[in-house]
Amino acid sequence: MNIKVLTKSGVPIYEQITEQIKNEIVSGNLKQGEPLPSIRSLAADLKISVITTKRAYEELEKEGLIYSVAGKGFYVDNPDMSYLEEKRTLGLEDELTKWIDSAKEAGLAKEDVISMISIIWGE
Amino acid sequence: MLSIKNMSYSYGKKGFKIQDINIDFEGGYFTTLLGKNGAGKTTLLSLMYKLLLPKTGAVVLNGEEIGMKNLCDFKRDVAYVDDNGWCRESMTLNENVDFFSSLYDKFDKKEFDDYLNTFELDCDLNEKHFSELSKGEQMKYLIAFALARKPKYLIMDEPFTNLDPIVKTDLIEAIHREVTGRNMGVIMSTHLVEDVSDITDYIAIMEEGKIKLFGDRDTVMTDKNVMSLRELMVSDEIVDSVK
Repeated sequence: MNIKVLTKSGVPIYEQITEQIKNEIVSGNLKQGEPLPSIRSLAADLKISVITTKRAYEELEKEGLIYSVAGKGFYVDNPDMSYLEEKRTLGLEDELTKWIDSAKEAGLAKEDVISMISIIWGE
Repeated sequence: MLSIKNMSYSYGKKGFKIQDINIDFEGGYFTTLLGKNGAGKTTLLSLMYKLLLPKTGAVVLNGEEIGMKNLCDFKRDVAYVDDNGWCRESMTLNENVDFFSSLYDKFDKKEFDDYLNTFELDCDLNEKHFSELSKGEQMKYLIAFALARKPKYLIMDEPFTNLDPIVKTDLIEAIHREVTGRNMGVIMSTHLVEDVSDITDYIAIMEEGKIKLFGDRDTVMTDKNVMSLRELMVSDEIVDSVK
């Protein structure tokens, strides 16, 4: 598992961790039953506070993506993949809406935007 | 758990006061004690390490109140670092380590040497004396010694003021490894908001001899009252640097 945090990005560090672990699970890199690094070893690796790491795991546990075994640690749960995929699509839709709004504000026409997307997509 | 219970202290009749402080520090977590110069941070930490006797109140370690009987054990379990140091100038740096490490049963000389290597303190400890080191080198030496004692708690009073940021990062990382690896508790004071590092679990804000706010870092840093404090401290720094 390869997690990176940017401390001055403005996004809370625990959110950066939950997002990355979530992506690992959705993409199948982390499989059901696989153990996660312990809270303290992840905090040491990322050079962040224990409480921040704990909070990230608690959020993931609340969302049913991981579960804890007392005295052992955290494991990947069996998440509802279709729900996660749907949530990911919805997230993209949200971002796209915001992006289109700013394109409109900048005075771009629909055709300009579409050709812009196809150029970038093609790369 | 290292706790301060109902602690009060005052210098002279009209002098400075520590007013009825109650606070608990958990093992395995890093707490930053943040406050302006003169807020009472050094006094509080000195009371906590039993360098000063309080007017009222007590220091309690894992349920045991610290008094004359268990003071020696307490000082083995708790390390204290400030920028004065404890070295005798009549002895070389190595003689100081040999002499003072005998007071601490868990002191690990190999670990001490490893830390000096990690911190890249390269000078001849057999020749040099403490006062011949730069501020940064002194702090590397003091923190290496404190960590090699394997204390349960490490109290640090403004350890990083005037240190170069690279040295600071190296020292913080070594301390963090002890916090995550063997559940050492840390209480570090600073008057600089920039010194509240990413490894800080809890923040205690001190003002006029009182703990104004105490909580985990995210909660304290987003507290509305803290924003004004932050501005105050930042403007203080600007005034300091203009002088």
